[in-house]
Amino acid sequence: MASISVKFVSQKVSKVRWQPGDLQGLQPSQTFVTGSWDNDENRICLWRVPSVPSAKDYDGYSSMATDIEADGEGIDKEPQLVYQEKHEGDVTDLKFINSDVFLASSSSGSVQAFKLMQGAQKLHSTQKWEGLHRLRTRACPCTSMAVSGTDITTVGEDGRINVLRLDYRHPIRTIDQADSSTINAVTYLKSNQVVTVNATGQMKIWDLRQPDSQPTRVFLLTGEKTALHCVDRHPTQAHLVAAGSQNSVLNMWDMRREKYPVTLFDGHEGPIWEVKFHPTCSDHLFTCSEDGAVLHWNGSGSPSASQIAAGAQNSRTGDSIYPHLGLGGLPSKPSSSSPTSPWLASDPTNQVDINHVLPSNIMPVNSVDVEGDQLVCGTDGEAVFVIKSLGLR
Amino acid sequence: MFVAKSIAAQHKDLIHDVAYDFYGRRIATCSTDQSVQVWDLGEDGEWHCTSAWKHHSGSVWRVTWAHPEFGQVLASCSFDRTAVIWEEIVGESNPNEKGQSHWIKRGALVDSRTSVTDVKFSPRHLGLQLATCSADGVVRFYEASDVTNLATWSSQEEIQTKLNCSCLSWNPSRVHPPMIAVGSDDSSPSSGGKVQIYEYKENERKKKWHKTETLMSITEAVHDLAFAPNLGRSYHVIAVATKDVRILTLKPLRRDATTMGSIGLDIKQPAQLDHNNQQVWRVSWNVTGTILASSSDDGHVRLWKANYLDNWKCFQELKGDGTAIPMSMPNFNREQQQQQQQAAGNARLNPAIQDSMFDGRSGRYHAWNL
Amino acid sequence: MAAYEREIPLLVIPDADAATNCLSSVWGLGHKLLLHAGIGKRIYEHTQGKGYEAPILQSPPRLHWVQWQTDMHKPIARKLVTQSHDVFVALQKHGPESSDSVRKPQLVKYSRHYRAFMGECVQDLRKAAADPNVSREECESYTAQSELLQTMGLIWSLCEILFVETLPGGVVLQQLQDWLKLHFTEGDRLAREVLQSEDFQFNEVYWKAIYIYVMQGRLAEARHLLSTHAQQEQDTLNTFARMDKLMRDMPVFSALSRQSLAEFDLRWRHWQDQCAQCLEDSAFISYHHLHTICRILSGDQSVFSELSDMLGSWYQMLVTKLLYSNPTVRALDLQYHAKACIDEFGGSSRMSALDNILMAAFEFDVHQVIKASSATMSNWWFVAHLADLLHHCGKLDSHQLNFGSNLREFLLLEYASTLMSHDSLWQVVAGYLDHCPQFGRHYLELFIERIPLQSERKAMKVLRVCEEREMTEQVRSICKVLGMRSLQQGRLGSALSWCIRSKDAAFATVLSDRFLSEYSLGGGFSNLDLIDNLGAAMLLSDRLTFLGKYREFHKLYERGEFQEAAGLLLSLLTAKLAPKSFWLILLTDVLPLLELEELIFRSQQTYELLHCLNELTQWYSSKDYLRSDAAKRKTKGQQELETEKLELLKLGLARNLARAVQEEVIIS
Repeated sequence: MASISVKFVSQKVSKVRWQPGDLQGLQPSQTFVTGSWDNDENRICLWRVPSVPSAKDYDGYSSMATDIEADGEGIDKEPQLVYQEKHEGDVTDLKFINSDVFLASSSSGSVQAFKLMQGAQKLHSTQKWEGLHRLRTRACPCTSMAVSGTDITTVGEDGRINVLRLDYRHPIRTIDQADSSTINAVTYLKSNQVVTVNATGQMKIWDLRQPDSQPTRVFLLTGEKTALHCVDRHPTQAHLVAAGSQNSVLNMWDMRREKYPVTLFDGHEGPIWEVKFHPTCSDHLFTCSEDGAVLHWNGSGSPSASQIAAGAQNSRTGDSIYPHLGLGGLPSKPSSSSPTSPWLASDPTNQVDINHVLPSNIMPVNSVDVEGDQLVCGTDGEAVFVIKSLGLR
Repeated sequence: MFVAKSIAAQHKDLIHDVAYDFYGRRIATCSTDQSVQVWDLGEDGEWHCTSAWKHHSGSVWRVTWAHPEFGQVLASCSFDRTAVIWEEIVGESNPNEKGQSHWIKRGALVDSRTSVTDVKFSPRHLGLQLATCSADGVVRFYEASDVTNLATWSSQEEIQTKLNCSCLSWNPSRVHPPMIAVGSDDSSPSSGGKVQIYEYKENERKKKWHKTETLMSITEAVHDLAFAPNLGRSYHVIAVATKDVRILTLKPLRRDATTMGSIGLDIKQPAQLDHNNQQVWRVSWNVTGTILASSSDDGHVRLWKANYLDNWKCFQELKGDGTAIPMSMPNFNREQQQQQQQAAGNARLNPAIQDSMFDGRSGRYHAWNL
Repeated sequence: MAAYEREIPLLVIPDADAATNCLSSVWGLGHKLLLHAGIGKRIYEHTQGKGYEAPILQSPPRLHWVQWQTDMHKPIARKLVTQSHDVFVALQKHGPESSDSVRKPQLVKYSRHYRAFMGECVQDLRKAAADPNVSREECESYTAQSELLQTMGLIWSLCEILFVETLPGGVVLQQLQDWLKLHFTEGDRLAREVLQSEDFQFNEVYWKAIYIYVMQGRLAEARHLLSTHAQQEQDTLNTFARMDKLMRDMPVFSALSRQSLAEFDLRWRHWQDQCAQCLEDSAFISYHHLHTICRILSGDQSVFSELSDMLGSWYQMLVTKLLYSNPTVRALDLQYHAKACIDEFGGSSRMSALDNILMAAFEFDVHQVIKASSATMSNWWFVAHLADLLHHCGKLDSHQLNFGSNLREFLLLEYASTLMSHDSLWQVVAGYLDHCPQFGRHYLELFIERIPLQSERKAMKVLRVCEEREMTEQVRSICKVLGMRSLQQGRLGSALSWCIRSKDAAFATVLSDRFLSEYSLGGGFSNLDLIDNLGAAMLLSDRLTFLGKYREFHKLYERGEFQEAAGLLLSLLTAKLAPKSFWLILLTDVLPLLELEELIFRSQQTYELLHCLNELTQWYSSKDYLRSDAAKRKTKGQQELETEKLELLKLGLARNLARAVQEEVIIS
């Protein structure tokens, strides 16, 4: 079903982000942004994915011909570069604030805001915060950003947390020495509350309204202290947080419950660089890793994910009644009252299907973003992959 | 091959030595003007002088970096009979000093009574050790007693070579006992071999530096020598700069498997690289020890490489033209230009024109005789 | 073949001082040198023994950076670098030892991949050259590069035919025809020109296109062109139709057909007899061009010499000649036929480097192909990948080098070395070095540590490269460097986390001491989030264990669990985990416990504490201590405070002992 197109971009890709499309992914986005790293000159690039095959591509064939079947043939419609701009230092993170404005953070400790101009044909830098992250006199990398409304939280290798607000020149809040080690990632749980993960395997919750510089809660890894590189929150169940680790484990916390992760998912063979719940189909989760794999974790086939009551688990004989991709399950509509979730199952292997999204890629995948029915990821092999028609339900 | 960049240093006189740091993103320079400078490669791809200081009271001969495991540490040696250890201090925020680095003197090694001609840090597996040699023929070993406090350097040992020393090199091999080679610029052939090899080994229950060998085949003045990276070989490779360049292999002869240290070295000379009988002043190996660069009195830098049959050949020469140059060098690519000239006009694959692209005489270095 | 001995290339460095004060050079990472003037006889004599007098220079000395072999660093070529890396790595799974039937289709596939990448690169370069925004120099450099890549493609496809996609029986002509068709597209270009022109004319260009098609054996295309002619002319004698029939009837041998070689040969001879008959009958004599075509079809040797301009090269002539005289020629016999063609083109003395490489291929001298290519190509990409592919085909006899490596490895190492000077291609470099059994690992060990680590993310990636290859020493060193950097920046916690990662016990001790000295100077403990969650990592070094345990004591004390706190404190002292310099602090911590209403220390414990106190007092007066820096640095005030504390302790412990003994007596 899925169609993959690849574009070699002659620079290692550190981040990819879809420009947000219409709500519910009814109108899928055709534009995405990439950032590069580890190059003598790094760039932020704006890309356009060619839409449905145009008449030009299909002489003599009706463009009304079923698109999905055409895609199935793997017709190469590689993304086209629309605009590019130099960037000082590695691009460490990209975040859209709304459909027109996004932020880029840099290994030189700064954050810059860009506006998409002229129907996403151009970028225009609207604001720049310099020296947000530094160690003594030297700049140090900003590692991650999170956005809530017009508030932006940044974290860095200096263990500092900054809160920025769009159109304000200076941070509205700074927590120095928020962490002893590098903070690798941050995300909002709700407004004024963020979760951070650090290089020693700790996950901390911060209430940004509190005046003191202590986290409100600390969560730990079981076993060895290994770095956590990325974190994402379940789109509807705010107590569910997923974090990917250095030792290739995807950890799932139920923050209502314990200090330690409830579920551990094995699937990767290298550090997990990014984890993404699908924004609307939250039974689907995507991860990418240094091992070169992009994994699609599909929990929609599990009994707990769908409308089948939790009690039905006993009556289930096996997964075989559900097709491999879990398409047999009814569209999931997880409610917070649901007693179980595929992500919190005691035996996750039974509940979640794992699929490789990128066959035969060997170079590390640094970033993945998913929107609607399409996914984009970028690699150290200097390639950007766009996967359409994921077939999610 | 092309000149990618050319800049003026801020020294007032000749630069005697330049040293890259471990990553090739910083350099230290030292000069007859008695000063030492540190340059950093900026995010903009340009080199910036981030620190310059004058402490020595004589020409500074050599400058060298310690392994970054020990922090940002430099050593310099001078005609003023001292060697000095410097450490960079990362200060608290000070907007005035933005982009500048601050180096402080951590230790002064003042034991020599004559000019200190060379200073080299040991390979990092031996800890933070330092060897110096001086014009009166003494090689001295020092060690930082506490690697987090570089203020105290204890003198470990002194060896009397009985020849005025000009240069020294540590053997980088991890799997062999510590070894150094010392060269002398004594110009009288009658004073015998000019390269001595020392090994640190146990003798009568005491570990000491012992002379293993004097290379009797080299009787002319030696101005530089360099061990190549070991690459897992059972023998060591050393290049010696004299009236030519000698490539020597030193294979330790073991008494038995249990004894550390050799009872002697089996020395072979796979190559003698001709420099038109000009004195060679510097030899240096690239990181993988496969290319040797030599500098000689005829003003040439030559690059040498062994092919897969171990035949050494010079594949490139570089020479200063003695002309003054515009202050800013454009990023000019000679290599490209040559290709362009050759390619001009041939728009499609035509074997007759291909010939010129393939022409071996075109002078593009990278074509290689296997 | 003549060896390409040549003069040594010279690069001139623009430096005013370099003529008199010789150039010296320093190596950067990869193919980079830094040059400066300032050594040599003149300066040596000037300074030796006299020291510094007056400046020699008029203007400041200069530094020059020199670089080479950067072809593969340019953005367009990088696509080729990264794509071919993936194929290279995949190819390594198919060693020469695996069985032929499994391996061969794979190898052919990979060979085609490589060629396709070269082709894509040519397209990209052409596109770039056509961009009106690029400068003339850039445009020319793009054009030159694309020319070179096309030449590589030509050699590669011939090698693919002869060495990789070898067919049973060794009948190669069909493949050679495809080779010509792919690389010599002059015919197509002319045909397009003719067909698209407004005033369609049957001029020389038209006929040239047809000749080229015929000589390349592309008779379908030739017939198509001819048919446009026939429609307009009055072909009363059916001459054109006759030619068309001859061309249509030419038998084609295909390795895939069930036809046997003998069968084909018979049919083909019959067909050529017909052609010869036509010639004899002068069937086309009124149409000069058709007559010439008929001469080609009947394999008339003289016609090839006449048309040699159109053939362009001896190898094109070779294929054409064989096609019309010996279509079942075996690959191994090609070289014998080649000689005659070379003579037609001026003999071996006029052979270009490309000619020599192709001839070496026809002679099945793989080694010579690689050698000659190395001697003439401007980059190592081609020879390294070709040698590797041929090695996997089992075609590269192990030309053992005397230091035990082989030609393939030598070339791969060279290629990898050219990539080392590029800042971003280190992962690709590792991929190639992994498959150089002799020196690859050693190269990687030397290289990987020198990759600058500007961010932790990059450090993680470099460390993983090391860890996957079990390069423990490099992992240790990299973590140490990063830990040291954090320490210098005053980030003790971060330094400790690096040290825990690499399990560096000595460094852990150094860092623990820093934490303890911060504390003893009254600063309290920093980085509690890390220290309080050390877990098993605490066991890395005794000092770290002490640090962790001491923090546990603090927590117990804060929670009011005094008995447990006291027990822990005592054990820290008696187990000798605590450094002596810290004992006074530990004993001072005992004081408030002695003041509590509840009796905390039993008599036995109090004895032990007294014993510790005694030991400490003795240590303070020992020679070792008095000579230490700590003792020398102590101010008078500090000394008095110290003595006071010791006195207080003595008193407090004595009192506690009394209380304890009393209580214990009562209980017993």
